[in-house]
Amino acid sequence: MIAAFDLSGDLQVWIGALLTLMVFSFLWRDNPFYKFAEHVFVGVSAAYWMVMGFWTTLWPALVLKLFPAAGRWSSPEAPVGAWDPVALIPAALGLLMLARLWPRLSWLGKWPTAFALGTTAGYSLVRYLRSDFLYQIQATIGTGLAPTAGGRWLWQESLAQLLVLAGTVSGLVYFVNTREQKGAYGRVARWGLLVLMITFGASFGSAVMGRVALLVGRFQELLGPWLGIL
Amino acid sequence: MNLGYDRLASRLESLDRRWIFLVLAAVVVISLLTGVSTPDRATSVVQPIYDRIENLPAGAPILLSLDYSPSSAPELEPMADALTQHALLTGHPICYMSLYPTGNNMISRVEERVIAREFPQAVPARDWVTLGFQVGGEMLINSLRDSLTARYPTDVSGRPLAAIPALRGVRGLTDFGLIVSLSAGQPGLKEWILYAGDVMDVPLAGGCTGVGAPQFFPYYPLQILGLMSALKGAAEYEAALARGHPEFTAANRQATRGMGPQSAAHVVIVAFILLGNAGLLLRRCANRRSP
Repeated sequence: MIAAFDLSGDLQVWIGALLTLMVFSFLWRDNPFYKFAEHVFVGVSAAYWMVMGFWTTLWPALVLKLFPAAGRWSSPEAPVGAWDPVALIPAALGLLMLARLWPRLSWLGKWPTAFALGTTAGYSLVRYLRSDFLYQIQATIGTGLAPTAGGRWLWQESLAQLLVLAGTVSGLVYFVNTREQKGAYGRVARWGLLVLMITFGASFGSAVMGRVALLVGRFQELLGPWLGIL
Repeated sequence: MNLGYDRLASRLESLDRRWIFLVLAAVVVISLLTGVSTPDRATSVVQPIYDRIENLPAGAPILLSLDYSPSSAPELEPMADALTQHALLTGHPICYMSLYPTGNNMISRVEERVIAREFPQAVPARDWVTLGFQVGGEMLINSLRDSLTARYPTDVSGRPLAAIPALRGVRGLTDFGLIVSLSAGQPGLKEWILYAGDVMDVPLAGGCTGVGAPQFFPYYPLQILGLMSALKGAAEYEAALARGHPEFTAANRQATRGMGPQSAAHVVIVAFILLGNAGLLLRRCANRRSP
């Protein structure tokens, strides 16, 4: 059902709608309206992230731990916390990171970088090994090729599992470059290539689906809250 | 004849891409205005999430992590809406949190659009609680495993967690009946799988953008009990909800409304791909026939 126009009186809706149209105008060609919207987006995003970074990270995790009384300024009703000297360690590492701004002291910036990389790698290694390697192998071959429900053989599920297993193995064979891909071995590798192409196609299709959903979302905003047609 | 092939192939090859944009926009607008919709039903990847909520013990809380920003909201917000409606229809308190700095705004939008409009009788702290955003990503998830208060001493309104009825009996993540991460990237569902789902006995499900879907499907069904992928996944969830709870049909079915234009746009894209390939074939024909 198409209703009559009912233009919004909300300034926020108008700004959103006009910026959307400015961005869409790039589809025609590059123009000053698009450039304006692009610069506004970059500027607002940078400012937003900086403010959020300060109030959600630096303030509670560093300032309030080193200077608990400062909490009275931001939240007068909240209880004042205790002084936490451990916060001096990240504070020192953060300051060392800033040393990269001076060429003669830039080597000091390698310490916090090394600390961050080392702890993250060490902490994540076991989790990635378990979730992305061991469990994925189990999911591919470990669930049984002929599942049954109440004594009945589920041929569709079995076929799907066989396809997953065959696709994974042939995909791996395609990447083995230490043996010439000919004969039966070559046919398996070509099947692997086909599986890879289907996978890339599905990924691309999924990405297109996501982008179209965003387009539909923008048009819903334009036709709904702005023009009042929907 | 040969000249005809050549001319047609040249026209198809030199088609201005702006025609494609214009046709796509026109089709989406017309579909939205006419309210075209496509029938949907929950697939085996989405249905387990619905079933899990339906079969939870009475009053079991659900943790909903809105790990996205406005740029992904058209895809993920309908999932947040549908899950919120389902939880409130079945009497399960919802606990909102976020790994994204923009998460508090995303939670507010769900509160305003769904809870305030559809469930005016819902009581804050009893039916839902907002913990909001905390910095840390995977480290935040890790520290919440045993104790929510380790990182969230209060909810966003400053109420101590111990005084919140919705979280009665909840100490850490394992005390939730279900954890759902609606994820636009990192940190998101992947971190929930790695640092919560795979290391403790907690049922985990997710929702993701279309771009992220191929990354998450391999985790189903061993590591996540269900997955909603983009607008289609949300529409499937809405279909399951409409079938199980007839009162939901009157509510806000955002994803189902979006699927009509989405399907029409896909038909247009496929048509242009076929047209492009037709141009290539005509060019080959013209080249073969030319002396």
